[in-house]
Amino acid sequence: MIQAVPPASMEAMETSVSNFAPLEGGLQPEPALLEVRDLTTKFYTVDGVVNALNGISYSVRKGECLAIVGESGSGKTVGVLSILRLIQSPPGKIVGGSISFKGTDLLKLDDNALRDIRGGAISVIFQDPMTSLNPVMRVGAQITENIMAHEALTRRQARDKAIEMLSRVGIPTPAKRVDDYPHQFSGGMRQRVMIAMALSCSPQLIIADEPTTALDVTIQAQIVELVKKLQSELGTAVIWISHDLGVVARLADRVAVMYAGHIVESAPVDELYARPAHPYTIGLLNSLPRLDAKVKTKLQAIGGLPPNLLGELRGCPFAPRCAFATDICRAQNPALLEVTPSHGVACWHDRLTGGRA
Amino acid sequence: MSYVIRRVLQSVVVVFGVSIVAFFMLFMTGDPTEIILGDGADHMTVQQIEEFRVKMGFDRPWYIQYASFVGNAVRGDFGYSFTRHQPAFQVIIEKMPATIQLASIAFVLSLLISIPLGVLSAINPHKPIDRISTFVALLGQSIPSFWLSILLMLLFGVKLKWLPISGSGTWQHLVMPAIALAAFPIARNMRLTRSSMLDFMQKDFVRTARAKGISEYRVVTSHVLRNSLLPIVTAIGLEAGFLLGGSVIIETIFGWPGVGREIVQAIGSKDFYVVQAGVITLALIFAVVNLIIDLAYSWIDPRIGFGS
Amino acid sequence: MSEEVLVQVKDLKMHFPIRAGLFNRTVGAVKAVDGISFDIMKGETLGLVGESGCGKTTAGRAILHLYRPTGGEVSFKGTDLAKESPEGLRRTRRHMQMIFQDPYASLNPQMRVGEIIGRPLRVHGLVKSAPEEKDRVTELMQQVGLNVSYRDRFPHEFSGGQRQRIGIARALATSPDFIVCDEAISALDVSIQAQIINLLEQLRDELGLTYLFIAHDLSMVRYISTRVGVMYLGKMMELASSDALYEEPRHPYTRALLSAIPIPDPPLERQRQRMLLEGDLPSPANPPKGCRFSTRCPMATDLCRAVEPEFREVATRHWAACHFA
Repeated sequence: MIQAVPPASMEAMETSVSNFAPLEGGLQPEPALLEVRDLTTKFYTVDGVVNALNGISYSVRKGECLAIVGESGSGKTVGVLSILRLIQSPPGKIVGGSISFKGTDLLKLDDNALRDIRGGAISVIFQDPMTSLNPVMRVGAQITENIMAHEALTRRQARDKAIEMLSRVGIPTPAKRVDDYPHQFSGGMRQRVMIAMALSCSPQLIIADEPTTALDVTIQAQIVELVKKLQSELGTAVIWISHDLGVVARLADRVAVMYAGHIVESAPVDELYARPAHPYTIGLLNSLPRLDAKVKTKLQAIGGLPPNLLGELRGCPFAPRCAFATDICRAQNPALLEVTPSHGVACWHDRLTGGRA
Repeated sequence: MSYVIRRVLQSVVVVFGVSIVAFFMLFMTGDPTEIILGDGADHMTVQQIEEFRVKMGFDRPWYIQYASFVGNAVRGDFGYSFTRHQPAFQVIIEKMPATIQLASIAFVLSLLISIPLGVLSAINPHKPIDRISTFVALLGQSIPSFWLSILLMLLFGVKLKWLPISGSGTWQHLVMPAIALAAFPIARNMRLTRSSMLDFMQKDFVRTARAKGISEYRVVTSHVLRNSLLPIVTAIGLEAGFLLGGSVIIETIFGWPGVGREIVQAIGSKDFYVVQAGVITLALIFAVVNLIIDLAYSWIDPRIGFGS
Repeated sequence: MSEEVLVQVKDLKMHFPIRAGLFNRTVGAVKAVDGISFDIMKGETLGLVGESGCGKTTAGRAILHLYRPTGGEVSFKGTDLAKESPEGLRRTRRHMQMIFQDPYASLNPQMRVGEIIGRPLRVHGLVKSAPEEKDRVTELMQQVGLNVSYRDRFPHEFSGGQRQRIGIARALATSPDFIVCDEAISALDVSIQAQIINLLEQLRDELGLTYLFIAHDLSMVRYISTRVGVMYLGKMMELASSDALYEEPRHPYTRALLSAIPIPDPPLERQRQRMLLEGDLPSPANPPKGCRFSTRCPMATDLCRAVEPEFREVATRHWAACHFA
């Protein structure tokens, strides 16, 4: 087994990943489109400080699909909404890190410059298409509003473009539907409207926050195939947030697994499913029944509960539920390090190399 | 369309209900013959009283009386005012412009002050502007309007002598009654606007709007405010009733020659036909205003179709 | 699985009236469940799947007579529930319980856990004294894996998975034979779902329970069910043993549904062919003529659009409602 730990001292690696080289592994020479470093977001609530995001780092390359997987409370949504500073503030606050998009740190932009990016170079598709569209505004107006914020078009031209976008996402008779209100669309069609809106200013990056979770499976399949098709046609990079490891397998190029506000594992999609290294990732995969399982094998549930993020955590956040946990796990949080090229794991005893502890 | 018809029918039922109450009011206070005759009955013989009773139709069964009351009322005939010596309905109609003038000025005043203040509060939560308007709203909601009226009179009328204490004729006469009448709706609508705005600011579609990169001004106006208006519009519908009803007290205090004061005077002089005419006319106006507001509601909110 | 029929459902219908117009006349009906028939064998887990609006949840409630069905018959251990007196139905309900989707909404927030679990015991007169109730509650809490010392806590102090355990303990309190699990794991996180599923299986084996397991997660349904029924717009489309249904689906809707489920295996996913359905679900108030699936079915012919196919046995113990099954 190859010991892939860089020769950095243990002290330097404690809870921070700032010294740690990016995970690209030299596969592509192109610089990353989005480079998130040490992003830390906290929520200041009446009960205390919730450590929602504890210094996560990842990058997205041009045209690729990065899936961020995690359960509720893992910080996956906070992690991506922080990119555009879309978290509710107060109580949320980004307290540290950097988000470099094509070389510009988004956290240092003033409001005007940030607005140029929002809906322009980076757009968002939200989880629930029922609540994410304004109920008293025609869908056409909601799309043209996005277009006119970024492009010097007349109302007429923006409307034509909105119709073109609706047709592109597969809405029948778009010239007629453009004047309908959201409630006149089904859930799947509303999500198509959201996608049309997100694509309307030819973004280089789309953040998709669980866009199919609220939809039925046959509609989910339609939306997943639509996004796949549009992504390959337009070459847009996508960050796809999901808790569904099946959808991720279908869609992603790379996967980052989150737990308790940390990225615990990150790898190309085939590698992650074939050779998961973090006990949490392994647990997650083993707790899923497979649709094509001909022989029934008992589900391996992960015992216990995710930690409460109120207040500081000591050690590895997964240690209380982990079968491999030792004293070091309970004392120090392991950094996310490459165990094999482009496969990063934050674990003292990862299952691929046997661990660094 | 059936929605419109249903709403119109509902309004008719409301006015009908008020007519029943207004009608039986006369009976609930005792024998209508004696109430109307009052002290005059002392100088009449029993036979004269009975003749009067028959002439007025008070000897007939109540449902016949009610039927003829309704039948006459729809033709605008509410009986004859024996203090004003003209038809009761005409008495009310003559006082109507003054009441409508006062109520509509108070109405416009309340909207012009409450909605902008509510919006300012909501977009600056817990900042000084919010704290001040919340405090003012608290005062406006808790001070009874008659007391506020008296305070205004003492300050601006008696002490500063800026404004006339009572009566009508110039715009100065309108200022204090309008403020006294608008105080409560201003406070309530401001708080309603604020809470409704704050509520909608948390909504997913507002986050979507921000994610589009449109200006914060546009986010607030075309997304938050537009949705927040829905509950406010409902409140405004009820406010019409409040302003009409509230005018009874305010008009009396400020000697404003409107329907409200007329009704109070008519109660005092036991001129029941005027009271009935006044109450039913106000109910009718209230029902019509509410109807208009409801139809406006379904125009603002596309989810409430006329068809369904 | 035995050959003994525990619950028999015959042509069950549950229609909800649509009212409109001036006098709230009934202008139509949402045919949430529109004539479904099947047996549930003692000891089996019958899975019921379908997309939202297919009527699976309504079916579960109508079977327990939480709604009075519009038509058809449900018999439990040979007794027709519709013919039971209210008192008789109440007594029979002791043997038929339900576990709900949202474990928070279905637990009274003002009651302590011990009271929530103990209440059915008192309502049905199953315990004679307070100490007896306490013992039984302790036993139930242990059975579902709840820490007994949490007896005096309130529902909001628990996580979603633990709340679902409380819901299960409450359902088990009356020692039922039959439990309807209505989307019992849908609101839970993946790692917690497996805990609850394992618990349900363990209880089934220990206590000889029979489940009607209603869910939209087809992978989980395959895992836990002995047989599976697929519903679409209020009708049963296909019913077969789990393996037969997943390996040899006969109805095109089942095939589309199965092909839409992604499998957590990237190389396999890249090869799999999707059978994408066009359009959206039609309204259950106005279902298509003929076969209800004909508007979205890639195989539909004129026959399908005119004549509703019979729900028939296309292979041994394998039923499907398709002209071409």
